Amino acid sequence: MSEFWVLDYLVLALILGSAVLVVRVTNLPGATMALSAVGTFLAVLFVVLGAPDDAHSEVVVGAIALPVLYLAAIAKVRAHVLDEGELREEGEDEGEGNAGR
Amino acid sequence: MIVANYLTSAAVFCLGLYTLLTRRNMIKMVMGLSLMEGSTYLLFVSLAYRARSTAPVLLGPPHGQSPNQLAHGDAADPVLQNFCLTAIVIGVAVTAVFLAVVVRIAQHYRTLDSDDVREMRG
Repeated sequence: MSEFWVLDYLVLALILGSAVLVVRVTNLPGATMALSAVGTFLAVLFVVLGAPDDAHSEVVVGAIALPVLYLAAIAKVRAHVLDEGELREEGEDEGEGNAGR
Repeated sequence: MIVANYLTSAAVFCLGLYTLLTRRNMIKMVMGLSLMEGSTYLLFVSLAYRARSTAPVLLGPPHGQSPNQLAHGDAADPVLQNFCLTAIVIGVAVTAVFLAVVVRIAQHYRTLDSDDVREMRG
């Protein structure tokens, strides 16, 4: 197995792990950061696969612009609509508070 | 094998679909859509890759290769890579529209829970 495939499988595993984190993390800003990690690892994989132009735009969009959009939307909802402090998904470990996070 | 890339792409797509179908928080649903978008980028670039290919940059042939080899499959497919580039640019605009709609719904109904938006029920 050449070093190309080692890099390929490594970055694929990182992408899959970050995608699972996006689904599992209930804290919305934390899930946004996991989504940013997915974009970053996708850009690294694009470099490995010989698509540097795609990697460039994926870094700008997936790792920077998209998280900024999400964080702006979360901040807007938190400040003007809900007034609940920490914003998390409804119905999931409510009352257990911040144990383990 | 490059099949691993296709399988990972399918897995990420299924994760995004699972998020979209099971979560009630609307921002989390938009995150599921973003995951599905990312899986299509991965699929396009993996389809464009050919064995031991280089980036399709035509400033000159890579070290030790001739332009003829480039035409016979030593460069990745630029058509699919440009599909991917277009999808990335359109994807961020579509996500921005989704998030604007979510914020407007949250301002109107005072909630992010899609189950509480009763008037949207069919």
